Amino acid sequence: MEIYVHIPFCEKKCNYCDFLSGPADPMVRQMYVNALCAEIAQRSKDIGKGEKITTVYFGGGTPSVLENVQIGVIMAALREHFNISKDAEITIEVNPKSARDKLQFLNGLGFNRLSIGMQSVHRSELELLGRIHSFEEFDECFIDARDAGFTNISVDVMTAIPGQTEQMLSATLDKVLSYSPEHISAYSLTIERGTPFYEQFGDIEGPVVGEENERKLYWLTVDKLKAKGYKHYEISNFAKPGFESRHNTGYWNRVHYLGLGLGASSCLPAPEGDERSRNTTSLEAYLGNPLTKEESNVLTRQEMIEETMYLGLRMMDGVDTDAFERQFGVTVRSLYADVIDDLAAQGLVYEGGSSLSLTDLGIDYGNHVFAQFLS
Amino acid sequence: MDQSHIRNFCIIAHIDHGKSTLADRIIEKTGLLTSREMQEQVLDNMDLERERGITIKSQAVRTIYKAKNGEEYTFNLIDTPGHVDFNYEVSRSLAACDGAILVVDAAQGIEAQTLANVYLALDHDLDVFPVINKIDLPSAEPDRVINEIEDVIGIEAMDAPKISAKMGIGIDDVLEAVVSKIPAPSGDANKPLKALIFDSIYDSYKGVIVFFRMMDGKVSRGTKVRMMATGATAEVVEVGTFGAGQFIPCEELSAGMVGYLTASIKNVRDTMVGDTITDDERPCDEALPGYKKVQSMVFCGMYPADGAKYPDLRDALEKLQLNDASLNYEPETSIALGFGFRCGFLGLLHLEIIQERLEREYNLDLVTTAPSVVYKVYKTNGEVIDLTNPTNLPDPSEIEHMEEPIVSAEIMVTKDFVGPIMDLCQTRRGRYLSMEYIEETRALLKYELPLNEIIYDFFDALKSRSKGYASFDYELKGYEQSKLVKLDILVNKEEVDALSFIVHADSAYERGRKMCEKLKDEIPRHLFEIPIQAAVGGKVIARETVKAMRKDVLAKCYGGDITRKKKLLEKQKEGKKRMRQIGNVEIPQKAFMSVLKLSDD
Repeated sequence: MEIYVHIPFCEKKCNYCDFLSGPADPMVRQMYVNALCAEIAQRSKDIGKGEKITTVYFGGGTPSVLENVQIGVIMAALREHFNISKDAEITIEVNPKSARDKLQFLNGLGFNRLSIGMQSVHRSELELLGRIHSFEEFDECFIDARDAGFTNISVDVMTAIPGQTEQMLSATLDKVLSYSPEHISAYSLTIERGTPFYEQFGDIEGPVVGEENERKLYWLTVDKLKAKGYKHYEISNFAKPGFESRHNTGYWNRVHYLGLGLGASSCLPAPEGDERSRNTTSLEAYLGNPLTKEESNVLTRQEMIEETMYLGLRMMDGVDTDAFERQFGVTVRSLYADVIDDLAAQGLVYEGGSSLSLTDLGIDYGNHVFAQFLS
Repeated sequence: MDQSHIRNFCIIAHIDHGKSTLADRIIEKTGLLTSREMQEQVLDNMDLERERGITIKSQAVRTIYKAKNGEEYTFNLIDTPGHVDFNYEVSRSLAACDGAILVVDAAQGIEAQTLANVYLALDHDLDVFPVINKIDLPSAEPDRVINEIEDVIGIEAMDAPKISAKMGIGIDDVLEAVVSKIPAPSGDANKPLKALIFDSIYDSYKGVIVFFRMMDGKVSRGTKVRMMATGATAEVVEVGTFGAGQFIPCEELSAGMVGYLTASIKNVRDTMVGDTITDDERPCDEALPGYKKVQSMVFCGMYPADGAKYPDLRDALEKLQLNDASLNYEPETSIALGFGFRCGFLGLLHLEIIQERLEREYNLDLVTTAPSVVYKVYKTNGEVIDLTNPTNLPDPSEIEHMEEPIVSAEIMVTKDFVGPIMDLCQTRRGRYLSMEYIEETRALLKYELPLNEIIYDFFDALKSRSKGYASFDYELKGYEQSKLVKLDILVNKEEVDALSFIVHADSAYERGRKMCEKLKDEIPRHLFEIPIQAAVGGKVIARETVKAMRKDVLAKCYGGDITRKKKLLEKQKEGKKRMRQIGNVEIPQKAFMSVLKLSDD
């Protein structure tokens, strides 16, 4: 089982961000840490120490806006109440600006993976995105992280930023590659409802930079990173061999996870099928009772099958059809022969010996392919 | 049985005025069945008929009524189809009766079909007496309707029973009126056998079961009968009368009676509706008048969605034809659709019924092409072709001229909607004949219209433009020369033969444009752009484009996204349609019927 911890605070919300996050004063942050620890204590009772925790992920928001001591308290609570595996992958997302003086401490706490939100090396793009840091600050952060002992660092890059040219993206990627991070996530910008970007660019269909351009920038990224020895292992993720994010790969393989904190989602075993649930998204409600749920839904076997397909297809290795058969007692083909044949005929999927995966063309039409596996 | 105690009659009505419900009540009241045994609408025993509330095939039922005068009467109630597609069948059923009950809705009054059916009944010298139904409705105005019947139709209506068939009110009055107002049959049992076929069905054990009305003579087991029009002869195995939903064998049928016979006849084509049955050894002088060979008015191509099912479709059509002599089919091939059949129908309703039966009863997945009427093509070499499939239209250089079928139509409409209805008839190339006000608020419009303008969606357009107040009836008048062209549709530059149709030259552009628009909506996005073009004689007159599918892939899908993103993907997913591969384009099967939905509104 995996654990996700949500820290819904940041110094300033970015223009594209629709995550549950925002600035808050120190008192609210402290109350949140208290509530989170209470939730950890309570919810661990349902899990028990018998369940081995293989990965822990602190996401946000910007978890690094918390004080060292606050992060320490949360970590201590987790270790007290859960059986966290010795070789667990423990990740924390950090902002280049707020992380520098915490890196040594975090490493000491047991965090062994760092995810740094860099996005771009260009000042103009960072400003447009509403990032609070500069490239220089990223540079310092990365070097400090190495010095602090982090040997597994991931860097976030954003593609399809309005106005982004191939040259600009190339420059960003070249710069990132010069640091030789173990892992790179490259996300195409999507305009989400309720963000400043949504106000600015409106309710348009498709990417701001245009559909063809967005794909061009995407494939430029893929080609460049692959050429440098990174494995393209998921639609937006790249890693040096052996450094794929274990935590995130768990989501796509439908490993159970417990989400802690405001608005955090969980997928836990239940008698009839897995149960997906989400904590309350109201900070007030959460502070009042951190066990407040917003929604919960026990999946049918059919839904689990569908998830296995469209989440599995996100990974370049695709759906493991042998594992599928072991889990569901039927072959993928017996359920989806028509869909697969149709998609394969259009060159969108590739059927290997024991896998079903997207082709390059299939990646471009990924949502269409995923949708075909829904009933 | 003494003929004076037989009453052979039918019920005529506009659709939904309560014909079937009254028939049920009559059967119930005459004690043939208990209330508990009554299925709703006993006469319509095909599921489809029940769902659509229309009677497709003529049927009959015999019931015994003990009248107030203490005497027992045999009632033969002959049910008639209620749609213009089946006009000929209606006329033969009427010819088998001596009188008719005219059911008129107390709220709606006389409608186009009421009139058409009454005139048809009067043409057959039937005694018609009216019944005012649905008097339980709050909007019922029986007195107004009575006046209307007297004024418009000119038959006595003052003492018309006011009833509610649904509530069972006034049924006794109807039964007594049947006895007193409908004449007894007047045949002669000693004359040679002469009987009118009004329907026949195929039974896998008994062969064809022929429904008929005895005019003269007698028939019993062993009689060698001859069908005078088809010439088929057979030895009678069984004769009998109709219970409700069952056959009751008897020794003999004689003049005036209504019943059935079986004679190991293999094909309903030997016992066509309207034909005269006589005794082969002692034939009557001449056949009964009115027999017509059934002619298909509407044709379309029917193809199995899965080419391998072609033999199944052939078998299914064969079986349906056993029971339906008005269904015609012959094999044809389409470049787009492969092997299939060109099928002929009495009208669009008949087509839809057959299509549904093939899909439901025979579990066939069908692609049906746009219906077409029969055009007459006069070639320059003197040859004349009956064109039932647009694809077979000869090259324009070989065509001298073409003719299309024209109908005489009567439309009854309240005066507020006369304008819109006249507009509609105008756009459908109608020729105005006359208009008369049958009462202050309602007019009867007479038009001549090309059949190909009304077989598609005319009825729907009529309903929508009149808010449902217009009613409509038509009959084939003949053929007239017309400027017709073949409209071809190209999908991704490839001509799809199954989408071609014949259209008047003046509306070719408009139809072509609408067809392209319609297909643009029907054909899902592919990975590439698909041009859709309409062309006449190789010249493109309209174009639309199905845009290529959007390149789109979720950049992020982590723990918190899974439920939300699934909803997004579900929205993206179109309902799985039944498709047909044409070149490298998948066309939904229902697109082949698109031409039906090119409404003007």
